Formats: sequence, C-alpha cells, structure tokens
Amino acid sequence: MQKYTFQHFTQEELLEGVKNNDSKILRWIYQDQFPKLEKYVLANKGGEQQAKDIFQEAFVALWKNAKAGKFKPENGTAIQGYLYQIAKNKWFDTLRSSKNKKTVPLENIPETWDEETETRESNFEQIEISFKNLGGNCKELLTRFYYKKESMAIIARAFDWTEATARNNKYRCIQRLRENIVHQKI
Amino acid sequence: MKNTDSISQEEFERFERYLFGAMRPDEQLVLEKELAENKVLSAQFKKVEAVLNGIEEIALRENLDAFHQEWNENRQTGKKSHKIGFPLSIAASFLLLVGFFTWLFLMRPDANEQLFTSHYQADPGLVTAMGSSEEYAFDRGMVDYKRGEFAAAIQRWEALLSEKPGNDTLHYFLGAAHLGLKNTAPAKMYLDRVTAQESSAFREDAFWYLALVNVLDKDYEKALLNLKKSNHPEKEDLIKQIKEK
Repeated sequence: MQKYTFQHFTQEELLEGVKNNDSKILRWIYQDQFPKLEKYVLANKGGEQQAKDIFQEAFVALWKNAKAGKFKPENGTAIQGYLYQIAKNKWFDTLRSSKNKKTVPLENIPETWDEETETRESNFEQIEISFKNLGGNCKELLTRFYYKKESMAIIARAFDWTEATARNNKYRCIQRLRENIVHQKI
Repeated sequence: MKNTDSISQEEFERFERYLFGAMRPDEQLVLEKELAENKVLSAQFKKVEAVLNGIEEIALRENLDAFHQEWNENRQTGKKSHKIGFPLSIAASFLLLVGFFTWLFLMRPDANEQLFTSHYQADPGLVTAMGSSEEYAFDRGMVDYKRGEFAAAIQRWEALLSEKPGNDTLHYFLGAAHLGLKNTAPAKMYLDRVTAQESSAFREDAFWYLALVNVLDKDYEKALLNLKKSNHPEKEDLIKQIKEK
C-alpha cells in the first residue's frame, strides 16, 4: 500500500487521476510542484516563462507516460519526483542546446536527430491549428467526449440534442477537423 | 490508390472503440488482423489515433495554462498582502484619513446610494466543484467573483454566453457581478432575463437584486414592484425606507 502524499491522495489515486484527466488531481500536482521547478530554473539562468514552458512540457510527458502505462510509482513521492526529474532534464537540455547553438558548427548537428519525434510534433501542431479553427460547439463537444470523458447522454443533455444527434455531430466535427488538417498539408 | 483521409462513421467508431478499450476480444482480434494485413486501413487507423490523442493533449495544455494562471494570481495576491511593510502602513493610514475626510465633505454618496449600500450584500456565489472537470471556465469565473474581482468574472462568463445563451445561472451571476461594479444597465439586462424564467431557482433572488438596481437608478416605483416579488428577509425594511422618501 502506498503512503499518502499530497494531503489526501495516494500515488495510485494520483496516477489514476492523471490517466483520467481529473482536473482536481491535475491542478493539485501542477500547483504543488511548479514552485519547486521554478525555483530551480530561476537559480540556473532561466526566467519565469521558461520555467512555465519547461514544466508544462514535463507535465505532458508525465501524462503521456502514465497513459501509456510506462510509469509505475514505486514510492510515496514517485510522481512528484518523476515530474521534477523530467523537468530538470528538459531544462538541462535547453541550456545545453542554447550553449551548442553558440559554439557548435552546423555540420556537427547531433547524430541522434529524432525524425519521428519531429514528425509527431509537427502532426500535433497541425491538429492544434485545425482544432482551434473549429466552431465553439465542435470544440466543446470533442473536449467533453475525449478529454473530460463525458458520456454521450450527458453531452446530449448539455446541448439539448438526442444522443444520436450528439454521436453524429461528433463524427462530423472529427471529419471537419481532419479536413482542416488535409488542407494545411496542401 | 485509396484515399486514407476519407473514413466512414462506422469505421471511425470501430477504431474509437478499439482505442478506448471498449471492444469485445473477438472483434479486437479481427481488427488487429485487418490492421496487420491492410496498409490503407492501418494508415487510417494511425491518423484517427493521432487526432484523438491530439484533441486530448490540446485540452490538457489548455487546462495547464489555466492552472498556471490561477497559481500566478494566488501568488500575486499573496505578494501584495505581504509587501505592505511598517512605513508603508503608516502612509496608508494617513491616506485613509485624507480619503475619509474627502469623502465626508466632498464625495458623500447620494441618498439612493446610501440606501443601496445599507441593503446590498453580494450573492455569496456557488461552491466551485474542484473535483469536477466539467464547467471549468464557469467555476474559474466563480473563483474571481468570490474574490470580488467582478470584472474578471464578467470577462470569463460573457465568453460562455454564446455557447449557453439560455443559461439562467450564467445570467444571474453576470447580473450579480455587474451589480457589484454598479453597472446598472447590464445588471438589469441579465437579471431581467432570470426573472423571465419562471422555473429558475434564482428568480426570487434576482427580483431582490433588480430592486437594488432600481434603487441605484432612483427608479423607486420599479424597486417596489420587484420587492413585492422577492422573498428576501430585508424586503419589508427596504420597502418601508423607500416609502419614507
């Protein structure tokens, strides 16, 4: 049995909360851990905005790993430690790459160039642009279903639709999103 | 070559069920076999998977920004309350004294404002459901409202109006927030919308606040009409004071 960590939550509860996009848990982890990372970045040649960006990237990495089952908490503060470590490493990479930019000639670009990561990031950017161009109803519908994990019945009630209409509209919104992505590629 | 960007609703929902782990094991095996053998289907599947993961990540990133903003605002509030040191507090006391005498001799509120102030107490607001991920934007506005940051609450809530044009809770608190800023015209507009909804749980409170809007506007006749429909414990007292004018 894991020990309680953030006041009321066990590591299992935190992990489940992260996997299920539970706002209460996500907010708690964020606001509890960010000050520590900000202090570290500020003490190591960084600014507030950089601390925020690095921490959010680390948070997304934790979230992805938790969802993919790549992270298993092994002690009472595992999630906090993991998040802090990812963030610290990212900041270290940033410092190193900015130093390299000043000193390393172009032909010495690191051999570990990760093409797959770049493609994934570029795809995400396209999806993000397309999503932001959707209408308000589509954005809310898709967010409620895919992020908040609300049932079709709840969504249908919120929009004053039937469940069948909600389901069809979800498909239409996805189609619109995918079409926007295709247009961007042209 | 078949276009991998086109996909039927049925196929999309099949992929979706697989990705959500909501598929029967036999159906799952069939799909996995198809994905292994059919490159077009496999490409379509990967695109759908990327889109659904992308939507989730976009929403997460928006939430992270909101958490950060909330944290930052709390930090600013904390800094402000700690920054007032001893010499500054003396200066503040002096300014308060000057302010008091200025108010007393030059800016003393009108009788209607006094009447308003003696009866106005902002609606305490709703409990923000920190555990629920739904209606985050509304809850965030409620946090502002409860802190007395009415302008910030209005900004957040008015952004929700296009998606919830008939929501009486939203109208009621928009009216309450505008009243907190003494913006009587928008306060009246939003509160009128609430009183027009007979089934609204906020209707009787809306009548009370509408009466206070009328007091601010020196429209005592309407104030009396609205007070009659209110069940506020201070209504008789306010009616009496208005009639004595």
